[in-house]
Amino acid sequence: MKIARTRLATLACAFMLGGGAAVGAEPPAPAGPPADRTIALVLSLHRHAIYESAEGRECPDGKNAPQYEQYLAQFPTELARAAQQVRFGYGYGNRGPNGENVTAAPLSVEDPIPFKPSQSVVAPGIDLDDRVGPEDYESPDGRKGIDNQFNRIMGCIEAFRKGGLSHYSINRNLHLLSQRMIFVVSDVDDLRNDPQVMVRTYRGFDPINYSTDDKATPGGTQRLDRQRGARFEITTRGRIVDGVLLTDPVDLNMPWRPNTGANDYKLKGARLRVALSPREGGYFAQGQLGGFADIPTWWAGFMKAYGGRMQDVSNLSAPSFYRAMLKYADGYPDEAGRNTAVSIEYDVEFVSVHIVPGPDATPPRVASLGR
Amino acid sequence: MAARHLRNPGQLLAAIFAALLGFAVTPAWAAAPAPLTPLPPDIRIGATDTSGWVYTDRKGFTLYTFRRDSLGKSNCTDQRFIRATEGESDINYYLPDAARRPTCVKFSPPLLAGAKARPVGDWSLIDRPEGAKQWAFKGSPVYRSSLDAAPGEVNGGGFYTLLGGAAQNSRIPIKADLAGFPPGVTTKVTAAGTVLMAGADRPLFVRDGAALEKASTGCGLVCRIGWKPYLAPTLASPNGDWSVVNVGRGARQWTWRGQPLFTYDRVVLDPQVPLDATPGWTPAVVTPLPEPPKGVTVQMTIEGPAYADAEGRTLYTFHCIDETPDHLECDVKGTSQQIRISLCGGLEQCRQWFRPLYAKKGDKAPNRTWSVVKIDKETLGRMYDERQDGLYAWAYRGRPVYTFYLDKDPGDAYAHEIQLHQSADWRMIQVGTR
Repeated sequence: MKIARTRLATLACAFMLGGGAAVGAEPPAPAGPPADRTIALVLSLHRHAIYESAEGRECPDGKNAPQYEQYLAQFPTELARAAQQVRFGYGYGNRGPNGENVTAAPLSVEDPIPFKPSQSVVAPGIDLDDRVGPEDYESPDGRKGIDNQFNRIMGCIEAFRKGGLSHYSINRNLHLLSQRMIFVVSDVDDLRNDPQVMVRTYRGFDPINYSTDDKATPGGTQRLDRQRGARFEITTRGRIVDGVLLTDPVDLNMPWRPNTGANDYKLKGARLRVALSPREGGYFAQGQLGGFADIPTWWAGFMKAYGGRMQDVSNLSAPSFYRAMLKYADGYPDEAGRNTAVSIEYDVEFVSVHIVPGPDATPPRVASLGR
Repeated sequence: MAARHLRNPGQLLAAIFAALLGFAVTPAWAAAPAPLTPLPPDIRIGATDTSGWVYTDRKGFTLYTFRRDSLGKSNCTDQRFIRATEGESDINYYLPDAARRPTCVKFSPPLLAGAKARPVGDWSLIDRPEGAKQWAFKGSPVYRSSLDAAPGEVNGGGFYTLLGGAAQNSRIPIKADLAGFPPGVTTKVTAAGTVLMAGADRPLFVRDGAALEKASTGCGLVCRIGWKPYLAPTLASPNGDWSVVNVGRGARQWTWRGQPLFTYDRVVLDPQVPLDATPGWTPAVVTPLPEPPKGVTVQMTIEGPAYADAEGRTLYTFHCIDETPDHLECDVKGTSQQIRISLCGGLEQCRQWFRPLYAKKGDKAPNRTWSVVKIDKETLGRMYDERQDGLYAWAYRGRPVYTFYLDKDPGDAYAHEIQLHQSADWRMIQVGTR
């Protein structure tokens, strides 16, 4: 009854504003959970969750140096640089003692210019392990126990701050169909408070709908890529408290393409915390996705995205970045007690979509149409 | 294969040569299509496993163009380059092992023309810097590759690299223009094999086991979910494998080898998303892909099907092009292995990271695409001198294949496109993409 009244009011309002304009108007926002108790959300924005003050107080010593500056500091004279090049060739990325590429072998040298971690005491994110540790942050809205050590590592690197290369490239790649990530929230009885819902992830298969001002809009359709994307199907439980969905920790696997080069992103102990709200045509969700990044496999993705000269346009240098990851690692200790993973958080946004079943949900066999 | 099916002596020689090498001769040789435009006596058409039909020299060796050439002018010379000067950085660095680095003409021998050669069709003659005549295709100078050891190989081209930020390859096998295809129909190598295409990017499909009449008429429901008959013009007439059938309302549909052809409106053409099977429909495959060696599997990775070892670990090859005017490939015959070793973190780490897919000395190559090569015991890179002591490993298009230490589960592809130098990277062997 409530839904009917809302729709009636919307139509009446549209009629008063211009009569016939109601024909092309956005569908109204739903007032509650859908009849099938299921909301399918497609990931439409994705960026590193980094605390940035307006004045840049978290980086009192400035931003980090790019690899080229580290190279010039390592070989300060033209003679030294020429000697290294003649001996090993292939440019300044290969500045290890035996000509090793220092992104592949980041511990082969120590960057002469010191690394500058973020000094912020707050950071966006989620309490991933349900405990407040000495290195944990407080969120900007006052929550304790935020696990986001990548905030220290990335906070003073231009590429990972707002408007940086990483923000641009991750979201550009969200347009690739291979990166389509869908969270299906089921058993939803109440959008404000629901003690138990189920969440299952899938890879999707269709483009996201965007408005003319480049904002994702709810109400599109998606097919589920269940044959080739089976590796991305993960299930966990969650709950909704005051309109915020929080999932239980689960080892997530996401299609990941931070710049060039894609791989599986196995985010350990991952949690999703998003505010759910109705929006014209469906639902909108905004918040964070966090987890623990396994250092070796995360570094493999880093080598794809920030190998070679990308480090110069990103203002980072692999040896000091890698050492910072080892230093701030805060999860999944090995047998010797060394942490093997680093907590990482992403700002995320989702819009709801309709999952399209049917015989053509699985497309024909033409695999790999070449490049 | 009976010799009478061969169209010219070059193909016969190629077939004999291939047979002597122990390869199963590709059936496609027997059905070599006619060229669309006339060819000079020096030029043939030959089948490849992974690049479709290409132009070849008299002996059946694949011909290439060089991206750095301009129309009517060859930039491939006998000059030896020792410094990289074309990188994006302001550093023009030295190349390792530059003294034994081949020159462009040694790496890519120009296809020279005899004194009596005359231009024919798309084929013309250009003057080389040293005075000889060289064949050109549609104005582009033509070369062979020193990496091709047998007819039908395409080891000298088709490998992507990144120069100036754009994916490209420097030496490109010349796809043959074939007669007998309806206007607008092309072929493309996909994971299903070489497939008929409507234009550049719409694959053509057939319905499995459907009778001609039933498949081609009354497609109402089928058409509503995306399948459309591939329509023929009113004046289209049968030609070889191609024919037409009426589908009602005056429309006519192309058939190929007796099967009606369809397009599919919902095919996703993003190359990152290879497509799988819909029961009842298959692409119109002209030539299937070459079978991998026994023990090599196909696994589904984030970017589609890729070859893997028996345990499901993804297989990779290394690709590199020097940032020099001659754009020589690195880590191949006559060039340095230093870049591969530096980019995987030094010799010791390389051996831990990238493990060759070992073969036994007597293992037989199943086709021209997969082969057994000798590799250096220390560097694990390919050796080209059979007399030297070494190990044996499987190779894809002449390059040794490796697994990566981080790939634990089938479908993992953590080394794919690790790119630590602007023009060098590791790539998994995606089924049907190269």
